[in-house]
Amino acid sequence: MGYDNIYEITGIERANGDMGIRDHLAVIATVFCANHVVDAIAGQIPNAVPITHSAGCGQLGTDADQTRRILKHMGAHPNVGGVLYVGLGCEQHSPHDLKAELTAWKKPVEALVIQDAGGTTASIQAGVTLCKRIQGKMDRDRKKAKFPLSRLVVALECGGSDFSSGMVSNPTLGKLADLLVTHGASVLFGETCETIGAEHLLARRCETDSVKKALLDRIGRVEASALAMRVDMRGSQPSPGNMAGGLSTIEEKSLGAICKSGSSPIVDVLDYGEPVRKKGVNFMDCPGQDLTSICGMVAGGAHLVLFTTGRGTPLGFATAPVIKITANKQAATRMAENMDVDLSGVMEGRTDIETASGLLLETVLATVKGSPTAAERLGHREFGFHATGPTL
Amino acid sequence: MTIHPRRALWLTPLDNVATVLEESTGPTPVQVFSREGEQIMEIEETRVPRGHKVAVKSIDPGVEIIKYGEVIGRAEKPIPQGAHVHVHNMASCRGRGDHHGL
Repeated sequence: MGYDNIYEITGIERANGDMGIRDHLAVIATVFCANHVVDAIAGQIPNAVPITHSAGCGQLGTDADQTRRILKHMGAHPNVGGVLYVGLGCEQHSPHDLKAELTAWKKPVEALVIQDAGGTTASIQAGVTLCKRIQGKMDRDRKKAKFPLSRLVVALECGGSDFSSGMVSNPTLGKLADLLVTHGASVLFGETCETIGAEHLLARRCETDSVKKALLDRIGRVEASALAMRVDMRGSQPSPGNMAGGLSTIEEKSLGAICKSGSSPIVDVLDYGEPVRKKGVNFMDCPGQDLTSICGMVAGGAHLVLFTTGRGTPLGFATAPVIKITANKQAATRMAENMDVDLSGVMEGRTDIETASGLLLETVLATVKGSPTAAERLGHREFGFHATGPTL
Repeated sequence: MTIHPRRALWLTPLDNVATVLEESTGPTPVQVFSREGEQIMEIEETRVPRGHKVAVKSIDPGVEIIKYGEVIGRAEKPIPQGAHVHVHNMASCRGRGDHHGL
């Protein structure tokens, strides 16, 4: 109806038509043996982001597939303008194979193998040369274009939650999620464990029976895996910090957590790191652990992350801006340098959730335009994901 | 010395707990408000910490604790009105691997 013109985005148009809101050069380790070389290469290239982890070897089946999917989609991501994959030479996911898999994305991708290059020093030198070549191509081919808001994919996350999360910051995020969905955007949320006790409220929002079944199946599996550990989940979920902050049970935590997804229908259920397919609210099956949750949603295509916190957390992410929101005055004050949006005024009755969601939208639009988040300004570029199987 | 009463938020009329919003160094009275800003009750003296739950009525062992209009767990001990409701007197009904298979 012309809604799109109200919130137009100027982003980077990738060669395959994707929209990016950042322009990173990603140096990605295909296995942990390449981590130091990756760090050293990225340290010499101004625009480069090192992506290191502890996976890529000794993994089996769907666990190895998950690692492959994350490594591929971190390179394919629209916020990434160029990629150098660095591997050792004997691991499960070869840099050359990953480079070939990214052909359809038409972005500059190079591959470097430490055993071929001749060890640490030679690999760092070769990697720096390759990155300069990649950056040159990125600079020559960079193209900005206007996009409608409907092209935006936003990840919703909560971490370091306390009583304020379910009362103010998550409901505010939910109001914004509803607005974004009205404008045709895609919204991702997950943290499967943190829906236990609230799943009936999500189930009734599922667009189809098959979405509902997929959702309940994922939640059931997570609870079963926790039960199989033969301990009370409390202490892990909720965490000691959650409990000190007033959350007594997983049910209480979940009822507060799901507020962030708003009230729109849930249109799809995605596996961890699976690319988003549909506009609207998407559920991604991921752990409640913040870093891996963010990683899965960014790999799935999220341009940015809206992250509510009660206690405060400095966490950022390698290739996507993380906007930090709190309604807890103590966290907003003590960790002011890590916060982007302070909603404690709602808690104190000085403003309301509706007004606060408008403030949040302004912050999203400014971030999309290039304004750095607190985490970006402080240099937080965390990366990591979980294993789903044994390491052999 | 006057002791300043603290506010607590009662999220829905189904709830048997409210959340205390303010800090204190010792016991204070607590004024329980609805989301619409109407004062529902005043509880005399309570030590409930900021962010934690206060019982708005007495809750017997085994009875469900209701917040957000939904079940968040069960009382494990008798909980008088005005008492602190938390991990020491309420338990979750989910994720109880310690009960699994018993």
